Amino acid sequence: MMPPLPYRTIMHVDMNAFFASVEQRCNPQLRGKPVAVIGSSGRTVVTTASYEARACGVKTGMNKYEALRLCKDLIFVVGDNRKYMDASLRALEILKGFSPLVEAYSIDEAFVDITGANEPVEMAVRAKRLIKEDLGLLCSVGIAPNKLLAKLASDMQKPDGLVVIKDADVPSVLEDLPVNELCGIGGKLNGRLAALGIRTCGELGRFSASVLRERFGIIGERLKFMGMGDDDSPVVPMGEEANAKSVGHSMTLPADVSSLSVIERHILKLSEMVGVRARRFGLKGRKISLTIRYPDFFTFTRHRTLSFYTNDTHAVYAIAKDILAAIRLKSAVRLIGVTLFDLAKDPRQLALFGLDVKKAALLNAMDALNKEFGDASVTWAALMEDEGKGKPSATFRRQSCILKNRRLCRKVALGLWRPTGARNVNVK
Amino acid sequence: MKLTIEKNGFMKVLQRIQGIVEKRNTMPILSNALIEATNGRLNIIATDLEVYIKDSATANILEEGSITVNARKLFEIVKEMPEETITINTGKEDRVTIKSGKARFTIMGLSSKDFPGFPLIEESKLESFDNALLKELIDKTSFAVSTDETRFNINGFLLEREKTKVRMITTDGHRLAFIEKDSSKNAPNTGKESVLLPRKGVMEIRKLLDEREGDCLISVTQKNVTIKKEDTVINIRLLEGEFPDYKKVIPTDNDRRIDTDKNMLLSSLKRVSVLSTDKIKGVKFNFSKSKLILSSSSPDIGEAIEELNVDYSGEDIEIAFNARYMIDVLEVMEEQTAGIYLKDPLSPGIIRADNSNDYTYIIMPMRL
Repeated sequence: MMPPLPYRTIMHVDMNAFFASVEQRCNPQLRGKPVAVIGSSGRTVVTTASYEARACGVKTGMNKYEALRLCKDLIFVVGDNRKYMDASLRALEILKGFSPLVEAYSIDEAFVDITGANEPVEMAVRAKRLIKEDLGLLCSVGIAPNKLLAKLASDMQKPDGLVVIKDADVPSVLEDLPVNELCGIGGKLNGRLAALGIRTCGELGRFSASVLRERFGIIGERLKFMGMGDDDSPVVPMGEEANAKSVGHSMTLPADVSSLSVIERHILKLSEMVGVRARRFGLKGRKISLTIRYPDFFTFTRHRTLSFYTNDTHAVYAIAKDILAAIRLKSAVRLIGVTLFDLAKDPRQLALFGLDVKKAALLNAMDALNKEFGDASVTWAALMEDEGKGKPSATFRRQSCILKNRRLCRKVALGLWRPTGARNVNVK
Repeated sequence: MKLTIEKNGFMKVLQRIQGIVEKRNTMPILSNALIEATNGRLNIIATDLEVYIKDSATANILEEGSITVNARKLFEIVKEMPEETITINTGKEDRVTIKSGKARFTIMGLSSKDFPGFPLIEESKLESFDNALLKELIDKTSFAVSTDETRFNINGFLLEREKTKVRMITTDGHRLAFIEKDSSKNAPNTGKESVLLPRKGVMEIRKLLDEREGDCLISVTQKNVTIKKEDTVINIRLLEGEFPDYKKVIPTDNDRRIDTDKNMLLSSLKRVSVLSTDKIKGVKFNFSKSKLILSSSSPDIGEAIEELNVDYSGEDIEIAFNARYMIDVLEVMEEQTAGIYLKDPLSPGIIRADNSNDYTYIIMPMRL
């Protein structure tokens, strides 16, 4: 049994149509008009639609043409992650004015632990007002005794909502609520629960824990608690997250790609991003995975376990490329991801050979330069070649000689090529 | 092809080749073994294109011929056969029937024509090599071989022969094992010969050395190394990478010498490393007059500390090593006393047995 939970008050803040709203705020001409944000100019999937567009039926995940059919005046905007990140950080700053316990759950959602607040509703109203005044953005707020219910509450009224679920209301709220409305129960799990005859949270909460455990393993018990509206997960403030378990980057390509050399080049770029991040956190990993998504959204991941720990871009790349070589691609590729996991703290083991020392120093130098002058100011020459063309141009070769080590500098040059497109940057 | 063969002898050769059969399914025929009935013997060949193994057992050949069959399945079938005598014959479309008592298996083979040929061995080039010596060379270096596939130039054993000296060197970039022996028993080498042997092949050779008494025959060419012991022949394709210049990293000015009882240090290290953080076990070594304090700590668990008496009269020095690297070498040392030679906390340390320079182990410290 779960121990009795201390009484808590949790606020969940969900920015409404976040990407689209940020775009509308930045460009007054978009205001009041149906807007859809797409990943990149070559992409067709709608990542967020403004409420004006939603009114016509445009939804996240639709493609451009479907969306246009529903709403012929729809304006497409290519997403700009930097803008969203900035708005997100500002919103978090505002929330921190209410409680130090603010957890950034995703780019457009946050949990705030306001346990002990006398007037939680008034607090929520003020938070909403500040976000609207300072950022010009609307949000929905849910207030409840735990994170699970707070998130559920904020989902109940959109846009610009404020819903409170009190302890006493919990059974009546959950009784007829479909299980897939709960955060964490998606299509697959929903299907498996339906097979057991469980459709609503009320049914889930009354279901036999032992059967659930048998069917779903360790999460079985947790599912039952979810059905009863119990959740003891704490609000984890930024900077206090548990140690990283993996360092990964993935990227939806500007357009579907089937050329192996182009895919490999993206893998190199992602490996570099992973390497940089791992080195910054002083982590090395022993497992490397490669994720591929086809245009039909079929997604799979393959991994390889090494017998040593690494955060060397080149090693990560070599392994990820090796994994790719073992896959028979069935179609073009939409998304590529590279992850380093099974992490250990870099043991600060010194290298025996001069070349290894130089190699590590080179990576550090690249990291330092890129930190100073921006990402990919110094990058791998392979990332600079034009598609299908051979060697880097003479200028690049000349520039690359700034770096003394001949064997290594062949691979490094000052460069510009960088993949575009929506990027998912995660340190879990 | 038709033959009868005695179960035990057949099983032994089948077992020996299992390690070499290709497990990753790049070329289906490589998961097969070639069996060939000729001249009163059953020859069997397996390869992953890097290591080739050939073995043979006496058999009663009724009809000569050859076929390839899945090595794993053949071994499993033979192992479970009820009777001592096994009959094998090939049928139409590369089918192979294996019978013993009332049990009968028919499995699909592949034509032996498509199987890679065993490299040609020049019998005249084979020379005798001391079995025990080769074993020692491998055992005292194998733990330091890099397993990092991306670094093919250190992914194996460097074997050097110069006049009567024979050397084996391995490294993983953090430590290096070097052993040099006099092989006056073997024919002296005229020039200097230096080859890089892949790990997998050497480990197969090592198994073979244990199995049978007596010296082996060895030949080294530009591309291959061949080892022959009785009926078993192993041929390994050499690695092409350039092994780093190991002489450069063997320090010559490590003046601080500490002598310590090997077993005492080994068991103490094993204890202390239990509490070192992470998967890479860093242990701190604090040397002072006649004393060594080993310590490790983990912020989540606690700390361990142990004091040892050592023979040392120099200045105090504090240095950290991966305990695993230290344990590996102490475990293969036969001598009572281990000598540790240090310079400073950031320079490589040397571990040697007593006063001998035959076996030298270099270990790079961890930053404190």
